[in-house]
Amino acid sequence: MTVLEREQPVSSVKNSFQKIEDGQTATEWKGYEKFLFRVAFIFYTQLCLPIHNMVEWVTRITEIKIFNINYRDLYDIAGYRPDYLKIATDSGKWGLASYVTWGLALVIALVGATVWTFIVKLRHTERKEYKTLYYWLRVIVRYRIAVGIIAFGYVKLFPTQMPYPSEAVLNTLLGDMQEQKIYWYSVGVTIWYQVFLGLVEILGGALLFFRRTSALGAALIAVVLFNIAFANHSYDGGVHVYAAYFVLLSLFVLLHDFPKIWNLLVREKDVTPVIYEPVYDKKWQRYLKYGVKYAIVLVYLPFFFYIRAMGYWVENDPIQKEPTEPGLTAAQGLYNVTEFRVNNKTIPYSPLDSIRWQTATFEKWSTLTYKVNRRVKIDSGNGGPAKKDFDKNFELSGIAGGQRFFYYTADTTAQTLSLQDKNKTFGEGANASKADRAKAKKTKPKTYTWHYERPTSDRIILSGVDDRKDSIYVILDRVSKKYPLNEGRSEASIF
Amino acid sequence: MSTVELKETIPTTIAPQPVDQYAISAEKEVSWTSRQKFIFRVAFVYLLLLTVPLTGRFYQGIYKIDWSNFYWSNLSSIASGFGSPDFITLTKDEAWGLFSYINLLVTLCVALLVALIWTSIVRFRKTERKEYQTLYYWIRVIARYRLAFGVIAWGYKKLIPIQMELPTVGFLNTAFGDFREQKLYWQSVGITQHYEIFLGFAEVLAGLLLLFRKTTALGAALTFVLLINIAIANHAYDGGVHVHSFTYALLGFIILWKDLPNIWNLLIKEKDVVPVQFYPVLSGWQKSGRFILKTGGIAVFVVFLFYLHWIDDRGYRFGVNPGLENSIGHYNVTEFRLNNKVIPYSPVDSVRWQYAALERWSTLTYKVNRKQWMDLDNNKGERNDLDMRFELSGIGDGRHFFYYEEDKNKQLITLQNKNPKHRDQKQTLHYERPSDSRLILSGLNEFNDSIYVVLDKSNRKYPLYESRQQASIY
Repeated sequence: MTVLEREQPVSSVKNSFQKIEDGQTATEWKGYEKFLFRVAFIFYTQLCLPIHNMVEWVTRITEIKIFNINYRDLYDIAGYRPDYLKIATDSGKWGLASYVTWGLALVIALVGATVWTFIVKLRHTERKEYKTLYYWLRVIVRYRIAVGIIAFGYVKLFPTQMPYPSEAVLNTLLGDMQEQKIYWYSVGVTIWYQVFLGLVEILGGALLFFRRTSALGAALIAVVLFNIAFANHSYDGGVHVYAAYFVLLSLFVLLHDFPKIWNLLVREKDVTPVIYEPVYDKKWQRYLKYGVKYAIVLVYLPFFFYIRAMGYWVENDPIQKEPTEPGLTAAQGLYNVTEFRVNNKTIPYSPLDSIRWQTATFEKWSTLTYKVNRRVKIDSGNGGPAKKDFDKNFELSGIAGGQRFFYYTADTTAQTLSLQDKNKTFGEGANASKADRAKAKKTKPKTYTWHYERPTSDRIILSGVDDRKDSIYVILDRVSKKYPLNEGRSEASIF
Repeated sequence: MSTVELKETIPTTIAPQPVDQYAISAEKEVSWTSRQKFIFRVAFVYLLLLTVPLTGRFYQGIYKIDWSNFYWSNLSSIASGFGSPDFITLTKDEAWGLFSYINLLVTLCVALLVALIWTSIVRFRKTERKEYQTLYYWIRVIARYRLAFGVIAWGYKKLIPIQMELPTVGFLNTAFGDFREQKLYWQSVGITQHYEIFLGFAEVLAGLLLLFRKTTALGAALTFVLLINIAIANHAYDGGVHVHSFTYALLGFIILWKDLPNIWNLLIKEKDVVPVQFYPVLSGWQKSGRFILKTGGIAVFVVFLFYLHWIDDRGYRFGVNPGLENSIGHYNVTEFRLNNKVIPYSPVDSVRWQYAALERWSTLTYKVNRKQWMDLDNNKGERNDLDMRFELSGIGDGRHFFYYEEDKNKQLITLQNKNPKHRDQKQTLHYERPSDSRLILSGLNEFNDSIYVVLDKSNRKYPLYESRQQASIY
């Protein structure tokens, strides 16, 4: 077999680096290329720079207590994106219409580019090319992706984005959970997979900080975030637009290098990469560039790591998804409702009774839940992190099955619990809409005070007046339950 | 008159000649260093051991194929049946940890040994080649095709979704904490089939890209990323196929290796790159042979396998024997009598059923406060209903699963516990269906006690399937 070889004059391998001086033009761009660039410029600056929400962004920055900075500050200021319009239909929340802001941004870009073209042609000041501006646009896009995705990566690396399911959730039937919740918790049950995802996101972002590795970073982020966007569409996760945002931005970054990669790998041709970088004449320009660049890199990589590590391991971060105030001592677990009396009448166990509790759970933190066959509007939000325990809705959002969630404070001397219903959309009737939630925010939550007794370590007796103004007496006995979810795979066990 | 012509010879400079892209240069040989040659020998043997099926299990599997009942799984196992030979047999426990990768390591050692022997032999006999370009080409072809067919076979199970099915009535009514991790992961992918199809599509795409030389590098990179993700997820969720997925990722990486220096130089070092390709020139019968093999392979493992998946209507997770007509659903146990004595509802009674479920296929399940061994195994390609245990493996909510056979004339169902450790439990129950939603069972249960059970189908809605878009009162 004769071996074929492609004959090439083996030029000395060199850097084909061309530093452009401002004004010097090596090649000329075609008319349509210049127009497309103008569109891209206006489009991507709208997406990446907080122009539309400049006021909110600056306000958010001023809220940062510089000596008490926490991860949420870095996360928030890196997460601003335009939100021109929210269409109040199903498609507007979950489907195609939720991308309306991008559509509007594109329209603005097209109009703006047309005006721009018109003006420069009219005044005969049209440039031959936009290499420098293209370079800076790519820098903006790269850094926007990087800081945004690194922030996400860090809440997975120190896994708090997807918390482990609480006792109440462990005892909720699969069919009683919204899809999004199952997706979230199925990642939350294993620490390591979440950590791995976090590492990948941080790696992708870090690669985008540096020009040489930005194509690899963009490719990685495009693939990973495409997966996340698709999953969000499948599971109604709610963050499909923001995930797809990263894909849109990464593809733009990749656009620059894609022809090279395609030519090299698929068309098997020689490639001479031509790189453009602005020349900095003055020292102060160089210092400024490196100063800003490394400030961002250092804050978003090592410093962010430090803050997360402190918040996760040392002091409990105040802004979390799951509550942090401890519950009744050693009360965590699932409880059978051995006896239930309403107004002194005993109601026997029945899964169909609309008053009689079926089971109850106490969490590690101060939440009590019970399951009853009575309808309630469920909280359909995502349950993002909040400052106060009472507002931390992650444990109840998307959970049905008749579960009721109560935040409580315990008075251990008087042996009373003061409870407040965490479901702020509580009530029967129509959907849990934004209006409902806004109204609920304004109404002050009712507090119920119940007396508790703990005759043994596994029995808790509650008595008091419930939300229907009935006096109840409940005997709860803890179930010594093993959860298959927690058991390892290798040992065979009895359940 | 004679004219003398003066000829002037103008020395011409050697002008660069336009090079014919496919000029043959048999003379010009590339030389590999000794280190490169040794590493190649190791890689060659390693890849051969990984891609050519050498386990007894594989050939036994082929021998056992029922050719009159050929279905997708037969072809799929051939496509994905490769990996390191089982030099060390693992116990059940060892199969989960890092030790499970030991065979990949042992195979590498074997490859090193063989390469050493190979090197010594050729040096001794002074027949050492200058390079192995041709062999490198061919081993990459073998590895590419093996990997491609394997990844595509895996992808088809999701693309035409049978790997992760929609939840059964039983699963929908099982508490979140009562699933083993792996089961939960499976359910979380299965509840929306779109995502599963997307994953399948990605796997198939990666495989297709590997089949063609020009797109090999992209395919290898995509395969590596996808399969590393699957391997790590398998570790996190105890999925069981971590070694197999890692092997795929490893092969992808080795295939990508050839193009890595070029990619690195181009993107990161920002240098000119001159890709040099070597591929053999085939003539005559060789050309047709190659064409037939390539087309044949693709026809069988890509096209035909897809067809087999397409026509399959039973999947491999659930039974096919139909259940009682129109009975699928979750049932409340309105009344329960044991030996004619009524037992009221109780979550702590060890005999009284709490609730029951009937599936589309002939499975009856009920929850009762009586412990049993949890079934742990993955499917092993069983096709008879009694052994289709996907609906019970990894579930620990206290539900007992019975396969039943119906006698329509006598209105009788004979039940047998599907749990492999409790197969001896059998029941014979007479059934009555006074209305669409009520089912009355009476007869002898698995402990030879007479029971009388009134089941009422629940018309509950599942928040899981009511979309988030219109929420929801539950």
